[in-house]
Amino acid sequence: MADMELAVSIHPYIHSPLSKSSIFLTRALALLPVILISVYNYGIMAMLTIFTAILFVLLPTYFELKKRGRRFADIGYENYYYAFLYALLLPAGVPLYIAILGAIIVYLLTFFPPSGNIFRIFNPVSVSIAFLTISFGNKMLYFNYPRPFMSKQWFFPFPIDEYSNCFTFKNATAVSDATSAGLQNLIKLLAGWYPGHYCETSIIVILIVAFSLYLKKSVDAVSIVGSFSGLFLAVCVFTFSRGFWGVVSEFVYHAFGSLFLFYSCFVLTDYYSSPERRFSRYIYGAFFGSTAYMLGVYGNGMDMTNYALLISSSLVPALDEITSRRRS
Amino acid sequence: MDFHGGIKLPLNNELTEEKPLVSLKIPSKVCVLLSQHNGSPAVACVKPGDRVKTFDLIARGMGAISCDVHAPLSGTVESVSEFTHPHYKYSPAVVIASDGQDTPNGEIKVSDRTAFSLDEIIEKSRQCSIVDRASSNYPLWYKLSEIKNKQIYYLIVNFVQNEPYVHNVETMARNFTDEILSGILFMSSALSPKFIFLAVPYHMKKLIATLESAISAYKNIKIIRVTDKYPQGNEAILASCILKADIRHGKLSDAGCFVLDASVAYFLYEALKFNKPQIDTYLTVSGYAIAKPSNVKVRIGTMISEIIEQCGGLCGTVNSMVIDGLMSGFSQYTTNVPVIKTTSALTLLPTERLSTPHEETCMRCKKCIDHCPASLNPAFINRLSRLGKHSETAAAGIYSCIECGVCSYICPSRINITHSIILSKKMILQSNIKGREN
Repeated sequence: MADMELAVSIHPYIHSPLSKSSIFLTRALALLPVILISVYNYGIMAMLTIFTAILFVLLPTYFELKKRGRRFADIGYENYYYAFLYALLLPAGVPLYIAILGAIIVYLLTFFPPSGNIFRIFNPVSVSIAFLTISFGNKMLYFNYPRPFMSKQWFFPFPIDEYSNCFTFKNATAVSDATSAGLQNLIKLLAGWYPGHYCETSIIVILIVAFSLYLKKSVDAVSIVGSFSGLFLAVCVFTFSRGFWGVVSEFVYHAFGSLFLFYSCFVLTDYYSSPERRFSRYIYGAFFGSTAYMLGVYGNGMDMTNYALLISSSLVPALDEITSRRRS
Repeated sequence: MDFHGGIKLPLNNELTEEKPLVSLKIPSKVCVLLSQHNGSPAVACVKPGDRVKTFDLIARGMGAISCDVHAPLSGTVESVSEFTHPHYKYSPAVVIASDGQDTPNGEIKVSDRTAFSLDEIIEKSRQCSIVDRASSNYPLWYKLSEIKNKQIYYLIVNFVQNEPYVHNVETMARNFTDEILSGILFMSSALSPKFIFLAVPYHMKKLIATLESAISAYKNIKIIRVTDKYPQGNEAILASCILKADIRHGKLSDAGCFVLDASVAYFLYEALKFNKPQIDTYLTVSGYAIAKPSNVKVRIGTMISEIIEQCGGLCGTVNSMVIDGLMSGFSQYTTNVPVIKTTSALTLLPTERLSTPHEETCMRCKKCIDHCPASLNPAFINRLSRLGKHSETAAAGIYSCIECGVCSYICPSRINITHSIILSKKMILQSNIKGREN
């Protein structure tokens, strides 16, 4: 017994099985099916763009680690998560150089030592996308139609037959009432595909992975609930004249269409940029939901969900200040 | 009954739950630490070579918060010197070599009184040096003197233990139900509360059944089933939960409430009935590195190495030895440590059972805020503490922290927030002392 080497530390001596790496691993794994579906829909082009985007978020970290004598395998799951998230938020058919530029911005905002890993008000992926949208205007607003699986087009690695999603979006909004065209649109929407960004490929898949994340305690449900209730409130206020089914169809359309669902489940719930208290997280979510709706309907252009998130994030410090209960 | 925050821990009681309570053999030597509680250590009144009998006074409590210490066995005093303390670095101690007789210092007189005044209980608990392990390890007389001249409406008896591998109170309560009930009634006679609540967690189903049959004759005693979440056993949280009022940040006595630990009720019964000082403690010796996990009764001053030996020795590689529970206990670097009155559990774990935390940067997941039972912002306090802004931590509510360790347990980045909080408290105390000196 005298030779026993006992580990001494301060309490507690046990820890929750949930760790930072396990949370980000789960989140990164949850994004994999979404990537696969987008590759299925957009073919080699999606594979190329997504792979390039991921690579350029991870490469600088790799060089940084190499300088310290470590291996590629030592890159944290957090890096993978942000890389996947960024790649999926790119519009289908975006030129590669734009994807690379955005990836470097994500790296600089997230992991570059002076700015990374400190208190972040804005989600770095969201900031990067906003930067690209402002800088490259049209190139970030034109999208590609999906391509038949394993067809000739599917193997073509560059964008073809571009269209403006703005038009489709506004057109779809107009027909989203309980008309036959609206219902058709709605069914199409829920069935799995709606044109736009790489992440907008399958609502069912996003819902399944978001729910599995919730079960794994890797996502905060409060802000998601908040975002949907905020959206519902905004829809009720602005479309109450259309009657019950009009409100419902408008809500379902906005909740599952565009980027709202993906942003609610994966970007809004980013730990760094969300408020501290549960109540403020709910308010934050609700503000995002209502702003996203208002900007989506009355705004002039795409990526309004992203701007709604940035506006909501700017409220976080004030929300934290108001709701923090400090005792002396 | 539930409270805000907290966590549900795996109890791991299967190793010792069904084991009977056994009294360990009297050791050949005991090392009685003179610091048996939080407060000033007692001053030795024996010298090497003196012969002592069981229950003899060996040290007097001299400070404002202090307690006498009695000999746990008969024998000869070997030395009076510094010795390793399970909570602090060192403490003065009296080492007694047993004569193997365990001769008491007089005949045990049995009292047939059923009611006592508060003053009598305070005096008796001081004489018999009972330490309340539930209330920050202070002597019982000190805790009782704080409620003098105050009306107590609710007497809450605390049976709650929600830490893994610890259930000594449950074992005691199942073995000494009548004695504990008598202790509660003695206390009730002194405080005359309107209600007596026995707070028992849901998972102690057998104990609930035993207590239900035992209290059937008493109408003012009621069993309250409380949640299995940790730290439900904390007095303030328990009282807030039962009385449905937030009294976490004030004195319980101001709310007309007094919380009595069930094990203390037993020692109080022994003191009032048999005039017997507290010389034993009841332990849960558990963990996957001990050959025979058991529920044991040991004399204070018994070495941990002796207890391990009597429990069948070690099996496999031991990585960690923790006294008083894995959430709020103290890890030991040696087995050459004696047990004190407040020791409730000894847990020995092999390497693979214990997580070795490596701190990462905070990811602002807010899990510590969501689970903090004191509704604090532990991440913010941790940030202030690490920046050296200790005085600002007071404004952030550091003194409301009960140091339960929930924030450190739940933190996915494995940041030891509890450590930062304890450190800040110490730094503030030191700067206050320096300020007074200047």
